[in-house]
Amino acid sequence: MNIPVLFILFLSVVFVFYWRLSKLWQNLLLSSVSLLFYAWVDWRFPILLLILTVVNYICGNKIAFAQSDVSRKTWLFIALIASIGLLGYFKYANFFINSYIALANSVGWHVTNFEIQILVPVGISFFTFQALTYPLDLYFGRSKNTASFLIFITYVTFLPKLFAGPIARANNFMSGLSEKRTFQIENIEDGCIRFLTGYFKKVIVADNIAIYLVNPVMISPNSYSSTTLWVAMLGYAVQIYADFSGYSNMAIGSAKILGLKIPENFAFPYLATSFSDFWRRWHITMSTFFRDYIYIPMGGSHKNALRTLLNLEFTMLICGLWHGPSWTFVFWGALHGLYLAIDRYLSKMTNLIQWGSMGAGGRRFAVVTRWSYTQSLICLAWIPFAASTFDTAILYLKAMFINESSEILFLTPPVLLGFGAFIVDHTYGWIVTKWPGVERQYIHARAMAYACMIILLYHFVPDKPNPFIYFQF
Amino acid sequence: MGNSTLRCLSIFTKLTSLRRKAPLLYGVIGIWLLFEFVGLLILPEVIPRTQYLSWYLGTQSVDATHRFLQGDAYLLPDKYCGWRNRPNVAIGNWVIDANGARSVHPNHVGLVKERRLIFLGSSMVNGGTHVKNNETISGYFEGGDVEALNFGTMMYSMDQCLLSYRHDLHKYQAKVVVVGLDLSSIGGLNNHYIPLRMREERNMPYLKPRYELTDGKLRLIPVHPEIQLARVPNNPELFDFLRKNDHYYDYFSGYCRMGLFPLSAFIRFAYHRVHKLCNYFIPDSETEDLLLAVMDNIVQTAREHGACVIFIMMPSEKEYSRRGIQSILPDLYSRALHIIRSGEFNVIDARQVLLLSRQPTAELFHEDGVHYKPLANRLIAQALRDKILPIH
Repeated sequence: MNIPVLFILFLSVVFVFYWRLSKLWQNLLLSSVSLLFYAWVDWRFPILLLILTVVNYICGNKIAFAQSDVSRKTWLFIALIASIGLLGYFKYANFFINSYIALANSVGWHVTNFEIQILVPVGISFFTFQALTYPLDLYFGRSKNTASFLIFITYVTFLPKLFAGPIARANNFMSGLSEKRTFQIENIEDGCIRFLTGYFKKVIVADNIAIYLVNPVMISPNSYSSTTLWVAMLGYAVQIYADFSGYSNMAIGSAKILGLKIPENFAFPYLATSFSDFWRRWHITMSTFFRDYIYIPMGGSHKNALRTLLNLEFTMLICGLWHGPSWTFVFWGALHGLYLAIDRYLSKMTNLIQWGSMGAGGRRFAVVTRWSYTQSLICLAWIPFAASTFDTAILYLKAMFINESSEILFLTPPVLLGFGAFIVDHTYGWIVTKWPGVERQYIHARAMAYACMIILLYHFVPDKPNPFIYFQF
Repeated sequence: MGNSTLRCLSIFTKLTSLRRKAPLLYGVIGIWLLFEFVGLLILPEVIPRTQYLSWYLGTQSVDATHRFLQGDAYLLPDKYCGWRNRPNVAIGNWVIDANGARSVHPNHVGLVKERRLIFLGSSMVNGGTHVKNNETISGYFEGGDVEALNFGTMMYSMDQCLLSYRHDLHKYQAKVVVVGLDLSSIGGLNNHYIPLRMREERNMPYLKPRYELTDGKLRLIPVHPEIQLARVPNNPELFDFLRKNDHYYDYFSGYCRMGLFPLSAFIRFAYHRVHKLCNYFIPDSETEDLLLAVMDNIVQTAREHGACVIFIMMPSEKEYSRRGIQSILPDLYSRALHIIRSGEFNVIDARQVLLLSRQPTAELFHEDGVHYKPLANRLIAQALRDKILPIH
């Protein structure tokens, strides 16, 4: 499944008729073409999508018109059980079965191995959460208005965000769908540039680094020197960012071309100077989802210190598990929960130090120090995330510190280009954060950069694309 | 004001509006078009052809060339044929004996059995790496008093079959010479340098001799791979040679003008598609005459050494199943077969053999769409056996 091509085909089909239609027909066109394209990937996939859409729509409306709190709670419970239950079955059934078998065998019970044959629909984690935001927002009072079924189904099935998000909130996205979209060249410009940037990040940065650096090293980490493993770890950090933010950019760009707005998903995460800052910049729509629907309802940071710590840890464990049916993801989530907890108390301690009294140099030193340890720990945490098993992760970590092989993987020009483009991307992010609006003053330089991207795309696209990492989630 | 003036004004107004409303998009398109213009008109005048060849080949091909010249590849440079199988190589299923042949019982060579066959052709005859030695067409012949030496070599075209037989392989005194030919090996008759004809063959950037037909007679244009490839890509003499002698040089020239930037590359790609489509309708009589002359020469040479020749016309999966657009286009395979049959050669139509078997395509062809699976090789071997029996 070549996603950029699928998006371009989708846009081409929709774009021809879209602007001549009323908002009703625009939505009808979007939902039907999205479903058709999703069925093209596998004809069985839209069935579950439609079930989730109908269930959440009914539950949402029941919550909105419920007279009593018990009734509201009951309908929310039904929505949660149905959605999380389906997600759990399709994505996690075999994981829990296998874990149970492993546990039972380890304590001496002899349980024979078995697996259920399940076809996991692409993007199930994303569209389940998106559909759930409708009843959740109505329950928590974040949204007062119900929507027509056409608008809701258009929101859930909208193809560009169907496979891997961003997880747009129902009330935000549906407000765009309830208005007629008119052709605006500014939107086309913005959308095309976003799409180009996303495609570049995916194929030039992520795929080249994956194919020529990360994948070979991950197959047998102990065959490479420590230096290579450290570089590959950085490579994976860049790859996963470019892969996922590239997809998000393509989705945001596609929506923009059609006059719709999808929330931002990344804000230069490797510029973060603390772990909480990192989660404000990394997969923003998912982290805010967990914050708003798990962390805050559990009490957030408004309870005692221990409870706050537990809330953080639990939220991040769920976040880890959401990424996939593997204990390595759970460990990664737990690790980030720990990071956030440490971060919380460390920031309290460091706030006691009067950095300001040390002048600009002192402040800069503090920022650089915080940035260094934050990013180092984040990069190290990517190792269990990238590894298929704990054994591979341990092998990798061990080989990083104990040099057992002298095999060096030389960085090919496409890999260097990938790293270079990443540095340019984050430097740009740093500049626009420091001097907001500066990008508008250098339109020619930006135009030159985008034109160069088009030409580099032509020359450096790998023969075989690497699959999107977040598709497995 | 005329209509055209009005139209120009309208375009100008739209461009001005685009510049105002979407300055970034306007800038990107403008700079991109500028790059395209520079690539089309200025760069080819400034950048040497050797640099273009370096880009055209890529590092993988340049490395492959040097490995080939150093004798590290699975093929060795050969002053007569361009390249030949490296003796004593074994990679998985693919085992080449001391004579450079792919045979099941290599030790039999030298005993001169009563019935010996040699097989010539490309990797389709050789069998490729997906089948074992005893699953090739020749492999199904071996055993008993029959000895089959498979000299099929990657990317060989018909002229190389003739050259290898004339210079070397006749010494095996085979009673029957089996020559596999396919459309690609016919296309190779006009080609010296493989990457000019097939850029995607990155691992085979080799140089081969070829014949040309002058006054009805074959004239060899020899190559010296060790010398001509030694300085690739920095060898201007190679360019002079290819410009004069390789029919596919124009493809490389097109790359120099229109290969570096995406829009012009797309136009070039579309042009080549159309050109390729035209080839279906316009017969290339020069190549057809050359093919017949080469085939005739193979037969004559074999006759001089007391052997008879059987040709096997071998289809790729595309030519076999003729699905999609192929089904409405003229059948090049049939045309080639018709031309060959007009020359009164002993020919086996492998497509007919495979079609008559009524086996599913997936059982006959490997996933690459070119090489045959053991079943197809067995069926062709059976047809060949039926053809040979009356001769002996």
